[in-house]
Amino acid sequence: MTLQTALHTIHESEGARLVDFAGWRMPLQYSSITLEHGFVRESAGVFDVGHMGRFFVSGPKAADALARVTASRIHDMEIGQTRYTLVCNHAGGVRDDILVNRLGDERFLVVVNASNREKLWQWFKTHFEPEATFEDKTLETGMIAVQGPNAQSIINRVLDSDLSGLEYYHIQQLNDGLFVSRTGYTGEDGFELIAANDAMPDLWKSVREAGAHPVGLGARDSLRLEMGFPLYGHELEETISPLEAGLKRVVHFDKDDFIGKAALVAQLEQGVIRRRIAFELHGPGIPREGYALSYGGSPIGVVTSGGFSPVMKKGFGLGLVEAEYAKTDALGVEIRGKIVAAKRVKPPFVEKRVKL
Amino acid sequence: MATVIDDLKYTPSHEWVRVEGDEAVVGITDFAQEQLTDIVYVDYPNPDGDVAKGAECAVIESCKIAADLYAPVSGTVIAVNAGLQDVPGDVNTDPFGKGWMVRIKLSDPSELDALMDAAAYRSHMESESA
Repeated sequence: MTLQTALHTIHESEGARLVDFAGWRMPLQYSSITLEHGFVRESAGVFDVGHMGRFFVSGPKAADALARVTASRIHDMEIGQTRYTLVCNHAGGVRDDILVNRLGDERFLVVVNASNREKLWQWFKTHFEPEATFEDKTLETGMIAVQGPNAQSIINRVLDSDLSGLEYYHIQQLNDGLFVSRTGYTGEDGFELIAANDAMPDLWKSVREAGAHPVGLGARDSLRLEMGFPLYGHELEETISPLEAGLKRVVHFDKDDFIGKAALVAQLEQGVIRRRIAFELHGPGIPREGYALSYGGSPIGVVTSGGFSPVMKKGFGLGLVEAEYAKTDALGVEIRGKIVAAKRVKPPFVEKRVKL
Repeated sequence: MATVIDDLKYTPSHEWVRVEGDEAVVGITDFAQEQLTDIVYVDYPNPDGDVAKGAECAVIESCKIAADLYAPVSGTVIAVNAGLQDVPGDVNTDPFGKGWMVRIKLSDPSELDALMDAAAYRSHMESESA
């Protein structure tokens, strides 16, 4: 069965082209991916991200439970703080990358990838009980992201309150069931709003009326790629470790035991065999996921995400290469049988403008 | 619904063909450009010379995917729309006009008979979008 978000009817009336994504019917684009990308970089866009999984974790041992299944410290989080972290398997591979929001001493809101929602539900159930109670509220709630330089003024107007004090990676509960966090996946200032399903259509309409353009999953992908942000299923996988994916900073090795810690400690000591890199193309064409990366004509890895940057106006991407080539500057990407020159760059590709 | 132009011929792989004497102008349909999303790159691997029906004669890259333009008829490529290499978005905004891609001098005009007319293409398009 394909799921629909609370905004499905609105997307149809907005003229969205809908596609199946992770079991959901979601907007790919409304007008054009390039235009929508530009709206977010230059003014503001609104995304339906209702497909993301939303779990509430509560109880006296909620923090303990989450700490056991994530690679980051949880107990030191302040109420109202949001933290990006990873759920690892016993071998140190990534089961998901998630956002943990601390709502209270004993209450958390965890946002997970749509494609991993059911897998994580089972995983948490296995490792939580009876330490913490948790509820999957994904189907009863909706979520939108308002992103771009105008996001703050739009949100202030729509919610009729001044959110300028809400810090980056923090969350606030405004009234019964409306959560606002200063988070996003675009590299621009922005907010994510979570509310009950029946509140979503009005929320979307008021954000639209306040000047945000509707933006689909197509631009969501090109926006995150310009930041070099990893995407689960591409840069992150059960078989890819955080150390390979360039997310060592997310793994708090000084915290107590957590699932995957032993394997990651061993990797830290022995070194990893692959590493994530970012590159831009210096020739014609567009790199795509699965294309071979090479050095001096020999294969060294593979493109994990690729595309065309609407801001840089060139092909670019992320890849996973043999660790010894991770500092190599001049690479090749095999595009349709031809090696096209590429240069390794340090992400982000485009200046990040989140509120710090 | 995507635009279909009555006096053109079409292929199942969403190319359109405009016959001008013994030449055929070829591009991709409005339906195809909608499916591909924003076209960001067009290139011609063999910008001149002979092509056989079904051979790849242009590479089209969109924000989302790479696609090929296949020669709907056999013949000699006598012109390509080099302008698309600078303004690939013309394929999105004017697929049947400024978005044309190649001009082929027909070697076997009888191949045109195998192409779809607008009515047949419309029902083909509907079956693919269903």
